[in-house]
Amino acid sequence: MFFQKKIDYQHSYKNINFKGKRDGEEIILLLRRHWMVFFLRFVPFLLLLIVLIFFHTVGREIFDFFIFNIDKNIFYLLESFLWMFYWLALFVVWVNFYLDVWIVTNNRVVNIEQLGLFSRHTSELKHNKIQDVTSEVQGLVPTLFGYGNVYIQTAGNKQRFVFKQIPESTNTRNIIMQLQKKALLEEKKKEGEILRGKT
Amino acid sequence: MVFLFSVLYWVFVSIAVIVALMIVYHIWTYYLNKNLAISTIIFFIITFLILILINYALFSSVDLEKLFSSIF
Repeated sequence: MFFQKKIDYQHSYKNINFKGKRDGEEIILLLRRHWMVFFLRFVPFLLLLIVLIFFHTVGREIFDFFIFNIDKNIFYLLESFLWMFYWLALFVVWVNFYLDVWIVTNNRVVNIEQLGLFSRHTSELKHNKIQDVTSEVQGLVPTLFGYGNVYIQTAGNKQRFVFKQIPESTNTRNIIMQLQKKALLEEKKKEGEILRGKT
Repeated sequence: MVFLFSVLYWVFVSIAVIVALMIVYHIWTYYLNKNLAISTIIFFIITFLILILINYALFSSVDLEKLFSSIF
């Protein structure tokens, strides 16, 4: 579709590191939410930016007219506070976006979700425990920009792994399915070797 | 009143600094791309320091005595 960017799955993730990465583990996919999701979260900040610029240009006159005659320095102090907290809020949004990561390695899927500045949720799933993978693209904007959710159903419990608003959800699903088949094949191979008494 | 205003000012600035430190801590601890994390932290800290300095300069230029005598 339009505006869709092809992801290079052959890209090397050798320089990428994450907490809990095992020795010899190879990153196959590293996924974040689509940039459009960040942009949509950024839209209220753009509106706030317009408000701040408006406040800078005509704020003093409004204060003088409606409330009381405000000192020039006090007004700019108030304004600089607003800019400071605007900057901080922008960074909190960026941190939440940047630290939500889904990693597919050669033997597991890692789900790292930043829920707030002080809250973080990490879970992992081995490929051989995957039962079913579903991709979903819902809505006009996700269809145009090519992003969606991927749901991974696990064998052990009822909980599902969700890759939220990631680009190229269908390709991601295919890759995870291939890895799951490979893991199951290896597992069967090992079982066969045990039964034949080779180990 | 002047004292209260000064305390309030420092409370606000402290909150901003604590939140900023938490952001830096998060990017630093959970980085996936070291170069990007370091450049982001540097960019964030420089801009934030400039904002704090402007803020402090404005705060020190405010004549608090005059302000409160004109309001109350």
